[in-house]
Amino acid sequence: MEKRLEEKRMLCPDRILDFVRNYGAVVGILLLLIIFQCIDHRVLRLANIWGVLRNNTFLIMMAMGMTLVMSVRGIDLSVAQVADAAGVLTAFLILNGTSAVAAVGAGLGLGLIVGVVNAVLMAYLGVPALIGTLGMMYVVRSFELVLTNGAQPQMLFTLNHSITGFFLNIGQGDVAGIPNVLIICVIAIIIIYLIKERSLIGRHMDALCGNVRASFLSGINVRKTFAITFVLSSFLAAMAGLMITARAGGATPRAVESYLNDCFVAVYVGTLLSKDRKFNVIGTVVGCLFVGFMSNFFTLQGIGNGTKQLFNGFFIIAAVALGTLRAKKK
Amino acid sequence: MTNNIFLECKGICKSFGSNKVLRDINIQIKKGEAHAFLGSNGAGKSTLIKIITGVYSKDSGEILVDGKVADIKSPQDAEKLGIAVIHQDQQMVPLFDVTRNAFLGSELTNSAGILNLKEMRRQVQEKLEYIQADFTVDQQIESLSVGQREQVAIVSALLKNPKLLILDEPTASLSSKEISRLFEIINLLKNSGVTIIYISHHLDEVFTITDSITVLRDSRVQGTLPTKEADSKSIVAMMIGRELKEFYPKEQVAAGEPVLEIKDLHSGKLVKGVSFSLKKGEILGLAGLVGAGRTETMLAMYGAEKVSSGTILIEGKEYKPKSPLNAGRYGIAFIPEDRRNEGIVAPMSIRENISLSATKLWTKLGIIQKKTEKQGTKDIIKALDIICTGTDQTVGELSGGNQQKVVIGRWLVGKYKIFVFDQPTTGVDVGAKTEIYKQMIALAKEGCGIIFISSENEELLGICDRIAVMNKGKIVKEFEAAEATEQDLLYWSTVGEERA
Amino acid sequence: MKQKKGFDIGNAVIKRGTGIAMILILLILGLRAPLFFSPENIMTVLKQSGVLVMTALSITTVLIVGGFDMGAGALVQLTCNIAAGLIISGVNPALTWGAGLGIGLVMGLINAILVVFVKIPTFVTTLGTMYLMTGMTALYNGGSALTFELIVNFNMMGQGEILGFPIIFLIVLLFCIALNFFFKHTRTGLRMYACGENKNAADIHGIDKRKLMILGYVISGALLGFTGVLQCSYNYGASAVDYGMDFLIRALASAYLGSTFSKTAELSMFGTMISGVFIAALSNAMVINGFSNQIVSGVLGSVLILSILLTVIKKREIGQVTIF
Repeated sequence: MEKRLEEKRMLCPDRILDFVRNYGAVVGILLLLIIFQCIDHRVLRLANIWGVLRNNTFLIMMAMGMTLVMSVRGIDLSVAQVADAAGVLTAFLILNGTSAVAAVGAGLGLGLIVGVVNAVLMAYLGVPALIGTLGMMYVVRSFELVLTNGAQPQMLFTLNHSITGFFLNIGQGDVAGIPNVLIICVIAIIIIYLIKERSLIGRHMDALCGNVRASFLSGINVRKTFAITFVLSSFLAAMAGLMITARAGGATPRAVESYLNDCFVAVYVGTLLSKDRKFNVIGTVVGCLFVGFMSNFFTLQGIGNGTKQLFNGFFIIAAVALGTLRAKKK
Repeated sequence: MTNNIFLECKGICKSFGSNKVLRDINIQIKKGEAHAFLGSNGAGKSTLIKIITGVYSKDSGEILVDGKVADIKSPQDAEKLGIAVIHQDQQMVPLFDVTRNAFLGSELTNSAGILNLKEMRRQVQEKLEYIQADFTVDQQIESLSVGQREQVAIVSALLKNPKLLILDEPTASLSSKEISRLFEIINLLKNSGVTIIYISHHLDEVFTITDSITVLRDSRVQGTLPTKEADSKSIVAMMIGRELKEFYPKEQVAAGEPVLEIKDLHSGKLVKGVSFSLKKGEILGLAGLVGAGRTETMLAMYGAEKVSSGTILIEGKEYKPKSPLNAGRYGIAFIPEDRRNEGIVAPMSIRENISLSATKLWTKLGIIQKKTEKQGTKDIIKALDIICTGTDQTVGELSGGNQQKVVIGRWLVGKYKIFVFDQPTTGVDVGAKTEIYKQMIALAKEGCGIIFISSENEELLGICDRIAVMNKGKIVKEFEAAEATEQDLLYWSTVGEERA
Repeated sequence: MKQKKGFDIGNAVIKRGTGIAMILILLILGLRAPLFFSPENIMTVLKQSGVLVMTALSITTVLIVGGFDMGAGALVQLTCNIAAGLIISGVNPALTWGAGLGIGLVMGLINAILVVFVKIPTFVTTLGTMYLMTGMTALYNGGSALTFELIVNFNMMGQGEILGFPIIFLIVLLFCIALNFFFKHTRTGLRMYACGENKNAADIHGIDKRKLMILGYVISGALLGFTGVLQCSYNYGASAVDYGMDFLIRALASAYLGSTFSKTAELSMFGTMISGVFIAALSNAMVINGFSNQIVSGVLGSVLILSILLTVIKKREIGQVTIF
């Protein structure tokens, strides 16, 4: 990547360099897609694209929450676990006779509770987010394992449809051919985008990232702003968990955990789309799709989890290294 | 003659760009004396020190140590010549003990790199006994008071067996007891032949401890004289010695009802019973030295620091500071001292910076109305004459003066009654300064009360209606601006308390 | 002045508090299940704590210089797998130990280069390398456990005993003493502490932070590599389950809990070691008490949060992360 930048600069005027700076990442992503397509013609088939979109809605939800937290220089390592636990809890309650609506409420409620605990720990007590959310991740994991008596899968498709219908419909149904999950996801993207880029609280978040002391002295409630991001993040994660459970028709404890990696890759790749390499909502969404297509390609090719992890690590480092280089050039 | 001069500066000049900070500096410092460098901010004291200690290089001139021309290119060179410095803010590692801190960076080890703690302790012990310190070699820094830490710094310097010890404003954060302890140590060192350069704003200290005084002003040496022959009046005159030359757009505004009354405010270590009142339409200047507690008083009133006791009335109603957000609701606007770290959010645009405090007025249902915001920003840019490429330029790219205007602009939307300007003109060009003064007067005309903290007494005299001088956490004197002189302000700021 | 005294008393409570709380918790759990106090069980706990404490000591090393390492557990797992593979294919145990150390050292060096020269923040760097290492592990073992039967001269280290004392514990103790000596009694160690504690002080005294940061990562990497082989020796091979994060959280909890022994929240090798043994004992005691394994991870998470809370609660800033 560095070499490419270097060459272009030698070759020529600032315009090309600027182009690489601003659109290099997009071009790179597209290029990778084309390469995937060349290797495997199934990648860009409409049905496959549709599938990738649908399968990654939950990742987008999770990663958006992470983006909000990271945009105020926090971090939330518990997102994947919250998604996991929310799905498991909902499935568990439905299996044990709770009405689907109440179960969904409980799942989302779990997200809120974890979010509030995170918020209190990080924003009001001053626990470093990295450590606090790591700890919470384990607390949540413990909760779901105890709940399911040691990771028993909670399968819903065996139940009568009249009980599970409402819930499964979230994940499997569609409106006029557009999957429900996609509709929910798009609505969430719009709302989160508005919060982050257009609203008062979003502005305060930017300020918090730039200069905490100045934000405080200009009359921003610094703690509250920091806290809100954690609550939103956990809530979005819980929604993601419900979506994936509803789509799969069941939940296996600890199955969603590993998506934390994808989340990080998406968020960091997303920063490449921003002019000043900030964490941003739209970038994250694109990052998620990038991760989605990559996973899809690996699955189609039958490449195992190990290689995927390897690439994940590489992309995180490369994305940030590219950003650092870009900042230096400036 | 030469052999009782330890350090001599001959014709030293130094410029940063086109800005001449030192012009033809000639100073002789005798062996074993304590020599004070006096001068107001920006007079060139610290630059001179940095040249002597090898941090900066000089443009021309020479430095003689012990009569020989010395080529000081780095701090290490200075160290070899026996020059040691104690910096204004001592950086220590709180979890280390005294010994380890004193030796940090020049530890004694055997060839395998293993610390010779025994020898290190012995040497530190020796120095501690020498300065009669009341702590031990293995006490943790964390458990020491500020004054004791200062002594650790002195020990650290003494371990290098210096012939010249430079103390840069060592008393800034010390209590009066700690200061007298420090003076004992300085006398001790002097008696054993160590030469001392003592930099301070406080005249009383300089008179107590030093043998000679060199006054710097406007990057030149104004004169050196033995302390015995000096008196505070003449020194103050040497430090000022210029006429008001800048334009102050002062207009008389009739003062109204009191808008703010503070009674016996205590906060932290630096605010010890401040009382004053501020009327509508009045500009009140707060004069004093760095560390006098001016900023801290204002931060406490603004809710950014804890208030330990005292009452505050805003328009006659009791007000308890909670947070800046809350203070804003009571109509207090605050323009902080440290523009870069406390004022602007550098990576954000002008528009975003200005609307930080005002966004609420520009939002509907929590969504920022871009058009209103943009128009509002444009109005402010126009009103304050901010020079920029547009509302979306990043604030970090602006010049200091324009950044300051952005910070001020933040408070021009909405109804604020009390404005605190904390050193708004530092690092700001003359044109922008005038704009800032004009803005203060415009606000006063609208009936706002204005508190103006500044270390440049000249501008306080030029712009304020009334000036209060703070010294060591209290207001020691109040003047009607028309009746005060720069000498008065400097006198009360530097000598202050004792004769008050 | 009076206020200050009250402060000191508070500090003293915190200082002693950690130790007292540890003893109380173990005592309560132990009284409920007396088996916990049997000499055999105590030896088992010491044996179980070995790998955990080693990981924690390594991570403490990085934390002391002011760095961070998300990938500590992943590196242990990687070298553990490689060691298992080597042993299975009949490689000499001595060579295996060397290989583990070497791989760890190289990984540490890569981290250091990315952090110091490419200037990628420590969190992102180690997050990235963590995934790289997890990926390599998965590729290497192909998703299955690599186990072998007892090989006496290799499993000695992990499973052997001297006079009833587990050798693994003695090794760890040795490392702890050595590291403690390094950090407290050598020039380099002292300066590493100074870098992590107060960067400005290090600067003023002309200490080269970059060199020390590299050294910190390399030492820690080598130790983690060694730990991996130790784990392999203790475990008769490598399991296929990804336990990188579990190791990380235990190690971090040990390090931060260890720091609560000191008034100044100083990270120390002995603090880490005691806390590591406590965490192992806690897990053991809970299992003996019939708590399910599933609760243990939650308790560990809480211990991690509580231990850091004790050290930050006085400042009460917001918990922003400055390392990415």
